[in-house]
Amino acid sequence: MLWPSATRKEVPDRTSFACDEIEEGSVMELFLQVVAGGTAIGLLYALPALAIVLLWNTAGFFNLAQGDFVALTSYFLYFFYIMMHMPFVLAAVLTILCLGAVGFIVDKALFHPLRRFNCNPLLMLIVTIALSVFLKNLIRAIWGTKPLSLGNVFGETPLNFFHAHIMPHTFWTVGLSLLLIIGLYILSQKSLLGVAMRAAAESREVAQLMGVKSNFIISLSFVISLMITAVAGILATPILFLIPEMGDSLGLKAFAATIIGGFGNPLGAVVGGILLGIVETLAGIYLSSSYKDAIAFGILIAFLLFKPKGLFSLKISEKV
Amino acid sequence: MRIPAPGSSRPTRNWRRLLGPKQLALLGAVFAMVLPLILNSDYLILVTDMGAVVAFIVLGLVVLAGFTGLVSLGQVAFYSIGSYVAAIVTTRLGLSPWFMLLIAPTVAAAFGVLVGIPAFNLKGPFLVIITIGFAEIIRILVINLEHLTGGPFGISRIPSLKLAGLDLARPLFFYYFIIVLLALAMYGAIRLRKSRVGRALIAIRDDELTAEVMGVNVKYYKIMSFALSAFLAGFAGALYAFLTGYIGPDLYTFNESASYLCMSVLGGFSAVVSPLVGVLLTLLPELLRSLKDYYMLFFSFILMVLVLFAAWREHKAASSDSDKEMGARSWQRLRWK
Repeated sequence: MLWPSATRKEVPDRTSFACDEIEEGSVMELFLQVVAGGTAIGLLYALPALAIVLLWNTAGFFNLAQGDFVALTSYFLYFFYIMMHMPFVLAAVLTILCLGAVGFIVDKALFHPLRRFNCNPLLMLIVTIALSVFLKNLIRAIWGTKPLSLGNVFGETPLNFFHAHIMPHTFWTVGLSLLLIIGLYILSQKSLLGVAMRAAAESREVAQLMGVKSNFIISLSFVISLMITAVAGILATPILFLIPEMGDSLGLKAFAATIIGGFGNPLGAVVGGILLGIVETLAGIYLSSSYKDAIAFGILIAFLLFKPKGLFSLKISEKV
Repeated sequence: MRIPAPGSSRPTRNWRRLLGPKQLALLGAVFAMVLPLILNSDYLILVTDMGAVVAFIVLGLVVLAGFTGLVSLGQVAFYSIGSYVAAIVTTRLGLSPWFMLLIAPTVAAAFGVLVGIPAFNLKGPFLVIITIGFAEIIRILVINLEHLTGGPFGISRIPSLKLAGLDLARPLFFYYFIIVLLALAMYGAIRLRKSRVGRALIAIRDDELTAEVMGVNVKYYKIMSFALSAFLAGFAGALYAFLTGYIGPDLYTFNESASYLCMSVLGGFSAVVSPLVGVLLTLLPELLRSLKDYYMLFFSFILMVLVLFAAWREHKAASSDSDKEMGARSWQRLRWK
């Protein structure tokens, strides 16, 4: 699911943010590297996780195709940046807008009618699985299965930060994701739109009675969730190889992050993602990098078994 | 003596009588017997064999998702456990493949119980995620435990099944062997649905709480349907290993799990139609070579359209109040609560 194993062996794992030369660094520097790298990876899980939670809270369904939208983002970015020779920032902005448009189309064509027909949740789940297969094969049909690469646009030379070697994209990832998360927090707490969204999440009927166009809010939250996913995809693309299945592991770990943090809680999703990223980086360094994903999924299963409410369970959300 | 119900002489009823389940089964059997003559190529028969292998997994999903209402995206894990157990034991210890054809699915079923126990408390998306996570862990283990599984190179030279001096690795012989087994399994699933156990499973699907109150042991039956579907998937895995003589980790990816689920949904979770859809959709891309790269694209698109259609049908039936008048029999199987 992560990578077809044939390509997986050829493709070196570039997801480790911490640098390779561990043996010469002191404990403190290693610690800094692990925390910075883990946080950066974790924030890449936290953003799609946030998107999942947003969608769950307003629309009440689970988008299993979240990871594939990350893959779609990467390919859009590849198209604008490499194939159209656009400057990176312009390509990134266009990609985010494109994902928003895709979200609008998918919602109008698929999810909006299903909501209107009061489709039961399991059929909804199957639709998102079919959507996931569809997106993967769409990417395969358009761009092929050959691994593509964007090159690291943020720079290849590690920066010296308190004697620890940290890659520039780590700073970019952490900075931009935190900005986005803070922005989303302000949007949800302070703006009228945020209030309407939270009202629709609480009770769709009452919100509708109070004059909130809940259908519009749900469509909008789908579009916003895809735009958040797009930001994660753009930040992840420079350190990944582009293959149609690239989003699967990211998507699954985003789910893991939502569950670890307490399902339905946006803050929990962020904390869960960062925790998962740090644990995964530690496991990659001290245990075995080939079992790093297995450990992440093991944590997910352990949480589902023993602490299904997660670390920060919400009192109000009774949708689970 | 049966009194014919009024209106039973309508032409549709006559068609039904002419083509009852027995006649359809007979027609199907005749068709299955002559299919190798139609395909007329060893390669296409081999692909049909693989389709029949897939049909077992789809049948397992029919029991799990269709009867009990538990959606799993990790069937590929049981499939790979079945094939790896069969392959490792027959190549390393030299045990008889026939023996392993029973043992390997049993091991897979044991893992099914293991997954089924937590599944008791989890619903919908959470169950799906736990099965995906389980399948991923199994896949990572298969790739990394190289001394046991051969890692990315897989295991080759797996002995084949031999029956009365015939080598069942020959696609034609294997075809007749697996078709008989598949027919038996499908018949078993039909019987299961009508039995006490099957009714209990459907009761759980329709309303868990009500089923519990009515005295259905929900936990026991949920675990049982997990074990049953894992057994069928493990059986398919062992059959695949003995058919091709080679297995590798590339065969057991998430995409496979997703397409098995799609196949069972496309067949309307019918114990007869869904496995046949599995065979057909394995065979079709080989027959239409030009479509090979795009067929999953079409397939998933058609699935989305069908679900939309089913939801519309259900919505219309619910709003027009004349639920029974709607002739959407096959679509009603898609109705999940």
